[in-house]
Amino acid sequence: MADAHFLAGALTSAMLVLLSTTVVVNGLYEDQIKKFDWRSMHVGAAKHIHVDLNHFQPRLLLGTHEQVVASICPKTGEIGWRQVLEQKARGDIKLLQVSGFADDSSDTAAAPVGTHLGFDMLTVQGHAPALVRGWNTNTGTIEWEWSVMPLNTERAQDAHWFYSNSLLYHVVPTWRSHLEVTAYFGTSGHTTGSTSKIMAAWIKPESCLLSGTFFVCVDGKQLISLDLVAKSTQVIATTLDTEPTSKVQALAGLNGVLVVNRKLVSVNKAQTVCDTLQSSSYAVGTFNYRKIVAYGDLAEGVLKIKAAYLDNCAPVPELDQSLTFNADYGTPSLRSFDCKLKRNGDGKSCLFVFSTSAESIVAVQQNRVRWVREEALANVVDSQFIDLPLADSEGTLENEMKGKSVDATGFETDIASAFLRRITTQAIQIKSLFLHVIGLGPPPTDTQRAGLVRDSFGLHKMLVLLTRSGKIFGIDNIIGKHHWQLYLPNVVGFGNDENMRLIVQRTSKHFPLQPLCTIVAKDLSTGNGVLYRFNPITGRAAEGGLLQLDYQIKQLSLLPEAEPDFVKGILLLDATNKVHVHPKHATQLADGMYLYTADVKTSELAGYFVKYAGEKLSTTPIWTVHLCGHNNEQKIVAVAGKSSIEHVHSQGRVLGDRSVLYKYINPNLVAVITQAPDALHKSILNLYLIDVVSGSIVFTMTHRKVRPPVHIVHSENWLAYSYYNDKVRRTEITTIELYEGKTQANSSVWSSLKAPMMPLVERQSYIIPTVVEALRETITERGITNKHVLIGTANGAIIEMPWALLDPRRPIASTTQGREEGAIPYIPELPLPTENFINYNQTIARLRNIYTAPSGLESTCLVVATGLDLFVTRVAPSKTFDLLKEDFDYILISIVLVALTSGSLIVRHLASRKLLKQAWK
Amino acid sequence: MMYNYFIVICFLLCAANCGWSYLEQDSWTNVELHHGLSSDPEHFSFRGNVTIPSLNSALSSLHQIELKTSELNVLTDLARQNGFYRLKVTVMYPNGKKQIFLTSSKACSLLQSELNDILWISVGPSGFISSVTHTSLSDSIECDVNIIEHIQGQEYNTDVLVKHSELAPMPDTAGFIQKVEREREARERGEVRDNRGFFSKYWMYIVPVVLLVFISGATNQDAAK
Amino acid sequence: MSAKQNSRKSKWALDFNVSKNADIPSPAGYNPTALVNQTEIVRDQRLVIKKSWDLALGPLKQIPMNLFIMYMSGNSISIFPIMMVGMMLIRPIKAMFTTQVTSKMAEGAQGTGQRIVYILGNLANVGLALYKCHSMGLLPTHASDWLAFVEPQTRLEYYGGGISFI
Repeated sequence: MADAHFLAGALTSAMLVLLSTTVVVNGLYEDQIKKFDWRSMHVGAAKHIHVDLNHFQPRLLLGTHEQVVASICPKTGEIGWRQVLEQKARGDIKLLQVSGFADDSSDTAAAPVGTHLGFDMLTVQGHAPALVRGWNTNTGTIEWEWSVMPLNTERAQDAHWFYSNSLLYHVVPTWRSHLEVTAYFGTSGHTTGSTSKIMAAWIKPESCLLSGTFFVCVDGKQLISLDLVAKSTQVIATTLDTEPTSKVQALAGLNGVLVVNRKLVSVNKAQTVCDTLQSSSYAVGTFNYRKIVAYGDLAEGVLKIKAAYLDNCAPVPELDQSLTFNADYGTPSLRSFDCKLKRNGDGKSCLFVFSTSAESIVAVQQNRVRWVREEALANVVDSQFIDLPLADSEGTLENEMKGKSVDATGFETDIASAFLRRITTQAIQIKSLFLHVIGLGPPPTDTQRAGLVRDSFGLHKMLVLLTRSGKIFGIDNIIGKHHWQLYLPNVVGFGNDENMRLIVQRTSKHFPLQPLCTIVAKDLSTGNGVLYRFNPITGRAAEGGLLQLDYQIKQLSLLPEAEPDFVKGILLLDATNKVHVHPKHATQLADGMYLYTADVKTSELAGYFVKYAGEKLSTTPIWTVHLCGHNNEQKIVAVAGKSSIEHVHSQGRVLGDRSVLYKYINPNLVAVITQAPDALHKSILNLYLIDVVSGSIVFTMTHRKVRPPVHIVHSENWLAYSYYNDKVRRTEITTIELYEGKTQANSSVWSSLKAPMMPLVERQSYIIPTVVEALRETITERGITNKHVLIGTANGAIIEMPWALLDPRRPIASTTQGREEGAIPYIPELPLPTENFINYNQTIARLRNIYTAPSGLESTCLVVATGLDLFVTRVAPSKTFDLLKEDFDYILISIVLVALTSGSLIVRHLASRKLLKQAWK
Repeated sequence: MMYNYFIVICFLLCAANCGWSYLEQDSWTNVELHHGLSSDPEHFSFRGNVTIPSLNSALSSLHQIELKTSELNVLTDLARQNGFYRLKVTVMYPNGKKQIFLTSSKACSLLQSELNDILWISVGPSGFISSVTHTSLSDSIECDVNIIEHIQGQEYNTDVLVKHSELAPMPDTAGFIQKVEREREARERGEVRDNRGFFSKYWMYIVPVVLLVFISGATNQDAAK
Repeated sequence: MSAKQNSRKSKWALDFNVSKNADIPSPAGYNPTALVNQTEIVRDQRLVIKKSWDLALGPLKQIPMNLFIMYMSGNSISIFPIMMVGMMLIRPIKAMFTTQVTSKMAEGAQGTGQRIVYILGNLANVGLALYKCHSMGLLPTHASDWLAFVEPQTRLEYYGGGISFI
């Protein structure tokens, strides 16, 4: 017995020693990679495409509108390599020239042996300076580069480049005056001579283009053109049958051939074309060693591809194809094609590459779509996470529970009723499981067969992404599969750089009603508003689909209350300050709603009150705020309100002396940042915290010598925003926290019209050593978890910054007071440890925006990061406190339990027998 | 002669003073108040004006006219419908520029507070007024119909309060560096003591001893038994 | 011979056929003439009272020792102070509810007074333990202890809007 006690003592001391050596790990483990995150890489809508199947490695070279050069495998559509060039104008690809090996092509780039002067591919980007780069297309590296800095940068914006006979020509037009043509040696950048100036008073902006070596302008019914490399600068005039109704386009691959009114027209006397062909898109290539022109058209959902020989205009029957083309891909236009060179090929090896109006790249071969690249995802504008529908068994459970009319999502259930509910739900579940096993249950629906069923933790959701081109995707957030897509042609975002909106009108929490989403956009032609309603789980139109409005939308809002069928109405404010509600039967619920709009041109904010009287809605302006400054020099740079689904769990902050500092949680507070140039301080940023129900400015703060880009995060009672400090040339983050004080003015109800007017403001600034591209706070269903701020940097990394590090109450001097409160001592720089990068090595090129959404678990938040690439993951700011750890040893624990229980039973039995035997001795 | 000089100097000083006060008058900001209490909802009638000599100081002089009985009736009607009492504010800057602001509050709370209200003026960083807000002094949020029926007095009692813009903090790098320097010097000089509690320093020695005592005590008891 | 045997037999034989009301013979070796001294009863009574008073004042005597234990254990929240405080809290409460001691005191003359003093002493010990809890910060006397039960404020007004689209 003494031994047993000694053993127990030894065990406890050993356990104590072990526990003291545990270390807390913050980052991901290596085997957790790709378990709950994925990344998809994109290149952007195609601008220049070149297919080459006859190279020793088949390749598809792309230059895109997103300033990306990439090589794609023609068989599968996967990216071979991708180079993201400089942003905006500097990376705008003007010319993509691939060196060819055909006999009669003038674009070979053979180089002397032993030099680096040849090129696989040559690109020209930008205009001032214009960068010319030579690429190795196998590895995607730059072999050489040289740049040109034109003297006159405005005229250089309209410049064109073309390549002919190993010379690169730079054409700079001076409208209505002349053309300046400079020739450079393609690979070295030396000029061949002086700039030749060609008089051409007939050139006008908006109607001139370059085709091969010909500079062509449209003048009424004529095409006036000029051969820029010919010895004599003779102007050639070509008459057309009719005036061109659509934009004239150049046909790549042929010198001096244009597509006018769906027909081919040649201004080059040496090049004849078949003028009988009619199509919207043409491409030139080689088939069986003969030059052909292929053309593709979409008619009633069927894409027809035909081709004709260029020399005798005879049709090529082997390349005749027709296939059904999904309307959701957009309107296709044939960009490039290639066939494997054979003497008598049968056309089966020809690959046709289309780019569509929905920014997709489609490859067609042998009468079917080979692969599609959805490049619209390179410009995601809005995103929403939609809960998946319940499984059948749980659906019947919901139907049974409806009779009990207990609000499942309410937080006001007490323990006894919650326990009772749990018992009844489990009894019903057993019954439905039994029925299902027997086979008497209801049959599975489509979505169930596709695996689109809500999981027990609510982590599996449908990610709905709205892109700039009007295409909508429904993507699975666990595996990244595209479940459905929709395309809205002719819609565009709103003015003032405001994008289209994706609004959830009904969530999937109300079984059996289906969820409903709406897209609000502007019609391309009329400028009026457009609404499109659809079911986000199936991707099909719902409640009428597309609705064209007859007014311009100035502002929109989602109504807070829902109809009896759980649909929240959308309140639209039009240009004449009248309000409309969709759906119409929700009009009455808009009574008592407050609206505000911020006019960025005049830097004014105006507030309205919506009233429902006599079956009609009317708005009354109730307040105005002018932020323009004395001379209208201030411009609104950013407006940030709080997330409408946010819950604040803790109403105050506990101080060191155990008193409570109550938070000023104003749900109607909006932060507005304006920028003004200043004579003394170069640039000033002003922050205003405005309560948009009463129109009062709660707090104003000025930053001197500071300029945008500004990104704001506004949540609960705090605000964090990043800006660039011009004086010391670094990015800084300022955080503000608002408190009411030691007592709450009104502890039960918050009315903005009676709110305390002067809250206590804590503020602090920190230095962040990277460039900030996006800021977003994590959000959870009940707000119990800590809040972390996700900082997206220009390097493509996303850093999870705990709120405790951004806390403005971090003590500068005393450490004891801070320790009581839980605040870390103040250090002016924010640490960026690499364990806090939630996307480890999966960098996102051109990170633009981060979206977060709550999941079914309180500890976990779902994150989508968009930019050129797309990255989806989960974060757990307070670690996963409501989950067992992933490698929980169920087997080991159950074995040990069973072994110990049986062991103790057996030993007890044996011990009692032994005692009995001893007593009888 | 001296007397003449004296008179001339006095006259010049007076002229300068008048001129100075004329300049001072130029830097006054004049705020005119009109409220929407007439039968026509678009028409705003004159309520009073506030002259603020300088936006930096908190002084202001207020001049308001009494509320007419018809206006009081309109206000009571508005309060019964839970409508808004709208105030149109015209601000005239010393350089002649004019700006019009609009602000509202609930008519019911204005009556409940017996026409005691506050006018908050928010001033931007360079001295321009960014917003004017009107609130009343009553505490309750609910509208008590009985109180608003029996309002005595038709005089406004208004406070004018000015809110200014604050300067943003800079990251305190200098202070932090000094603190680190001081701590380093203090550690070198050996001044820093470990002043935690007795138990928090030595618990790891005491706890095993206590455990051993308990265990040996228990074993002794068993042995004695 | 037989008479002697008979008398010897009867000396040791016990007769069981005796009715309940008859006097039970005294056990062997018992001298019924021995008497208890009267004064000793009185002295014993006084002893009982004194003993009960000792019992009653027992908790009060514990107070200085408890004070010393409290001082030694310190104000931090760790296992040793918590054990001490727990012991100081449980022991008086258990002592109050054991009927053995209180019934002993109830026999004496000043039983009620002693019981009251005993209970007061135990309550004083409990009070000491609670004071110790208070100085360790364990009692929910401050507003921050009830912060978790503060409900978020209901929202009366809702807003919508942002940057104008036109």
